[in-house]
Amino acid sequence: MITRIKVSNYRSIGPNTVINLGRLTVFVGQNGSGKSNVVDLIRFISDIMRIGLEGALNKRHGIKAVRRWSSGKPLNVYIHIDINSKDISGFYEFEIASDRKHDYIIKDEKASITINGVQNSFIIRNQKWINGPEGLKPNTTPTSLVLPLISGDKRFKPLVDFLKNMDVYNIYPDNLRKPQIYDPVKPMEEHGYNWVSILKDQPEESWKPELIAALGKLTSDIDDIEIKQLSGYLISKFKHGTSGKSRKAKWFESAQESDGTLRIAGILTAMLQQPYLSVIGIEEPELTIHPGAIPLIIDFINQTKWNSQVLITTHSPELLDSIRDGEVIRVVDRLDSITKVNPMAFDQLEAVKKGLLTLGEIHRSEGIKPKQLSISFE
Amino acid sequence: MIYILVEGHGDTGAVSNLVNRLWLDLQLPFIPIHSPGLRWKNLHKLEGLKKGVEYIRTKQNVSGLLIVRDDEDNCPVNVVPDVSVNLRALNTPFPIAYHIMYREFETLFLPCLNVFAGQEIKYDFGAGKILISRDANFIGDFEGNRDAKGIVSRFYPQGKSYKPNVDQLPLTRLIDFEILRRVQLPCFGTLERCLRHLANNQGKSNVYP
Repeated sequence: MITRIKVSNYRSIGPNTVINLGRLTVFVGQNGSGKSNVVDLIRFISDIMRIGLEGALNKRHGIKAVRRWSSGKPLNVYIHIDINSKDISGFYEFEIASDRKHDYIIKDEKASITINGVQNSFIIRNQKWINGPEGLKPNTTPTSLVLPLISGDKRFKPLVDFLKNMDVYNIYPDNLRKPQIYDPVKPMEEHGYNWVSILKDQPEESWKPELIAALGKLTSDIDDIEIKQLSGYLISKFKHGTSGKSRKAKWFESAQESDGTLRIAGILTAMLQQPYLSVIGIEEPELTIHPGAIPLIIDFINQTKWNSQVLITTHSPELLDSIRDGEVIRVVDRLDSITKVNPMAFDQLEAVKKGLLTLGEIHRSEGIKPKQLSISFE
Repeated sequence: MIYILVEGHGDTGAVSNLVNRLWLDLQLPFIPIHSPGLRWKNLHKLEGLKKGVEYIRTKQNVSGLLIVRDDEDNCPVNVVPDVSVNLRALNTPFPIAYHIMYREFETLFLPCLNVFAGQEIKYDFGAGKILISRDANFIGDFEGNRDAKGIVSRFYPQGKSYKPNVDQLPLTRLIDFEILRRVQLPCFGTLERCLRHLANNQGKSNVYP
């Protein structure tokens, strides 16, 4: 799992920002504080591994949209990720500087991976291959990162796979309503464009019992889901109404389902999809969902955190009350247009531990405050 | 009507199922039990408890109130006497029983794990099932363990874990009362006494314990 991220000037995130992560990390903060930018960092790294740096930047409307705004010289974007899990440990970092000719250039790139006690690493500085394992010296260019290019090298493949296999979800219910063209690409796309394909390709026993149990609990009458092929498209159907004796089952297309039902279906599919992601983020899972259904989502998050590292952003006191543990909270706040990320204030954490207030009650009253820190890194 | 106040979401259906079955098993005189239980916050605090009781007092035809909550850290012997004093002070026109699941509701599952072994969890919705491992079993101090949910999860298929909101009720249906009596699980014995108290004190303002 990712244990720590050190980042400077990515979107609204300020310089020398250190974000410590656990198996479950929950980001709270006001609207516009930068929570989505923090979790987008994960998506950005993943995109770099899948479509390269240029593609990842284009997806975000270019380097200017990614680099924190400055009134003077453009700022360098620096990202460092520490990974430490049962099978793999290491880090990956790079720094992107401004450049008149290319718009941006890669200033530095470093990676290190240790598997079974064997370490491999490389260092690239100003496009010069400084150090690396024997037999590996890829071409460097000013605007491309090297790690995605050497993903075929078995020494670095596990690191690339780990970073590639991360995603952050923000499900758009309308995407689940539309007939979808079959898409074999895994994992599920961040907005749920290939939701039906994910379900179709996965053994039913790995998702169906739990997904239906959850949707049934949520709606009180969804009893089955069916994936149908109609010419070149896939559609999903939901079976309703078998709970009463006199009621006959009716099948409704997903187009007829509510936003909340579809959103939960998308979120749970993201968590139940296989192979499991190394890191899964979910943006505001509480949106359009009845507060009473939030503990249900937390149940699935608690299951998922043993298969994948989980990152959540939220505004929901109900969700915070279901989480209970203040240690997993990271407070995102924005001062002078700079996003900072800190653990929860110590006094508030103590109040939660002593049972004086729940996380949700603190969130409702004075808001969850950040711990005042002065951490920096070289 | 007997009302039940619980703390957790999964508890609402599971506790009322447990109480309904146990009521019949104890052959107590018929009194309808409100199902599912009502979820109430802050039952561990006097203020939350009082509000919960006052809310039930607003209902019609209340025959009794059962309050059930988990407490991982505090032995009921140390907590309950003070709570009982506070509940008596409310002077309700119906009997109240206050029960702490020590350490949590899922503690009841531990002695029954070998009954669950190899069984399918049948959800209320859908035909899909999750199979509990044939090796499911627990030997040890049932109430001494703080993580009954975690122990139950060990016997789920790989990548799956116990989820109270969907699993608690189906597993509660599999509980075998005779096993809980045989192992003399204290929190189960207390629950039986709670139900007898409610049945035997109709129309009285008595509080158990």
